[in-house]
Amino acid sequence: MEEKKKNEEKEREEVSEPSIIVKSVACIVFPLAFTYGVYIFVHGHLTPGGGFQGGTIIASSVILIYLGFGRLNIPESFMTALESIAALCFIGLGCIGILKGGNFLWNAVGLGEAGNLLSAGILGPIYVVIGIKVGTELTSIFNNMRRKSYEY
Amino acid sequence: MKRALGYLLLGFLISVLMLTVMNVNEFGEHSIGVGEHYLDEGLEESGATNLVTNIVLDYRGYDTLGEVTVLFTATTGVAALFWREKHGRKEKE
Repeated sequence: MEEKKKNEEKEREEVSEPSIIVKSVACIVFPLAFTYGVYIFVHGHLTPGGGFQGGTIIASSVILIYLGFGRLNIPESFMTALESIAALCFIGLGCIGILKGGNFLWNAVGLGEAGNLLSAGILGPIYVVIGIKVGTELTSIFNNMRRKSYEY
Repeated sequence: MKRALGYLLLGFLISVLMLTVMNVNEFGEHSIGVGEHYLDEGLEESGATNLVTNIVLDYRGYDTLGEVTVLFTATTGVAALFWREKHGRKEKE
């Protein structure tokens, strides 16, 4: 019974082995897409886009790696830790407003000159944090589903 | 009796709807004033040139926090659905 299962698994893996085209395209596109995602959420307060959009682009680039190679050399616990740290950073950035004597999520830090990368107080860092969080979360959703499909 | 009650209710509904229509703003006028405030003062108050960011992160920061929480809940739900198979709780053979 178990042998049969193992054989079936082997067959499935052989069938689902991605072609060289997918692998090489994933190699070329992954760095570009990843950098583009980072750009989108770092410039979230200057140009159209933001944390959610950038995080989605990052997650799709990582999914491309999964499609091409079937695994990622980053441990899952690291991704979970990154996600939790990002969530805590969001709340911590919100607490700056309280420490300065205002409301939660008050934009208390100096606004700076509009149009600069380091402007708009806490909005830029919050979008960076949201981008990291969304990227890791969507990746882990995909990872959970992929592992499930491998087991059966 | 029932019919009279129905007519009364109908008349009430029609009058309420007519009153609502009479108080609607003129064509082209903003029905909510806060949008103009965002457009006029958003850059000075929040400092971001992307106006959507001003609204999403500054004026409605709580909403974004909730949105992130929703996504986190979705991830947790998917993990809870698919995680169980690997760690025990298999069918008895």
